[in-house]
Order: sequence, then structure tokens, then C-alpha cells
Amino acid sequence: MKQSILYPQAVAGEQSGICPDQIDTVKMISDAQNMKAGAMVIFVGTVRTASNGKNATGLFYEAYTEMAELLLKEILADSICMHKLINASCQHRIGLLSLGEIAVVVITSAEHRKEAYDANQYIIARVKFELPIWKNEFYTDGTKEWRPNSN
Amino acid sequence: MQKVKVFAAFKEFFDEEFELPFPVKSINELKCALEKLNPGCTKLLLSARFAINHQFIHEDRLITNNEAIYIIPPSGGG
Repeated sequence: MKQSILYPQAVAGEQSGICPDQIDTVKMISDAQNMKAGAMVIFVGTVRTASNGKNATGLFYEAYTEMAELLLKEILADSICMHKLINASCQHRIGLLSLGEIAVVVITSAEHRKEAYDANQYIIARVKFELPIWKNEFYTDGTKEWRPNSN
Repeated sequence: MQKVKVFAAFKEFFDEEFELPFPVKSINELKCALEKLNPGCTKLLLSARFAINHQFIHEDRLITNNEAIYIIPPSGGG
């Protein structure tokens, strides 16, 4: 496992992973609090209605959980190493989600905000394109579709 | 026999988990076998990745008889 040079004790959120139930964002924030951190960036990805030129009513996330959790640990460890983080954590929801529900949370803490912002964007970009997680969107016209990420 | 596990859009073409009717030694052979079983999956196979033991594998890796192969469509998380 890679380590931060600045903070060899930096933590790649132990509670990170694939989550079949609602993500407890408050607990994630509480767990991420650290006296050495001057900045904490929280990204919350939610389910939106407009997608693929249609109106979605909800979606179903499926994951290859064992592999997704291994890759997620690797991504978080990389982010800590590259961006001088104090800690990083991420939870991704699976199962049926309604519009507006929280799909993914990424939290990054660093001494200063730039590192925390940069690392947070780095993590969510890799999570979206590398983790074996898929969404099946349900539309108002009664159709559904497995959708790859576009951005 | 070799087990294959598929996810997401691939489940519209195959059972979630099944055994290949004959053994394959490479990803190319696997792709041919899958196309024979269900030609409808050809387009999706072009963008698929493959994993064994929870790790992505290179397409030139030798596949042995007792390995389970996981077929990974393009990611859609986040």
C-alpha cells in the first residue's frame, strides 16, 4: 500500500467501500475529522432526473463488489500519496435508488483546500471510470437502460 | 469446466453465471465462444474488460481450466 510522505499515518478511510444501504454522510464526516486538517472537501453525487435525453425515475446500481472495493482502496491510497492528504474516504451505493438519493460520497482532508479539492476530483473521476459499478436507469416512458459514464 | 460471470448489460445476453461448453485458453477464444453462444453480445464485447481473481487481466494472458472469468462492461458508477 502506498503511503503519504507527509503523513505516513494518513488513512484511506477504513469505512470506505460499496454500500447496500443509505450512505451515512454525517458519520463519514465525523470519521474524517482530524486536527491536522485545515480543509475537508465533501463531494456528494446524487441521482438526477434528466439523463440520456429522457426523464429518469430512478436507477439500480450493480457492482462487482470484491473487485470494486480492492480498486477503491488503491485509488484512495494513490490520492493520499499524490495529493498530500491527511485522509480520504469514499462510499458508493448499490441497489435501487430514487431521484435525489445519495449515490456516492467522497471526502478528502488536507492541510490546505487546494490539495483537498484536487484530490477529491481525482478520486471521483477514477471512481466513475474505473470501478466495476453499473447503473440501470429507469425512465418515465417505462423503458430502462444500462448506461456507461459519459463525463 | 470454466465458469463465466457476467454483470449489468451482459445479463441481457447470458445467465449471470454459467459454464462454458468447451474450454478456452485466451480472451480471444472466450470472445469467439461468447459470440457463438449469443451473437447479440458482439458490440458490447468490444468495450468489455476481463478479470480473474478480482484483477483485470491482459488479453494475452493464458487462461487455465479451473479459473473463473469475470466479464466487465464499461463502468457506470458515480
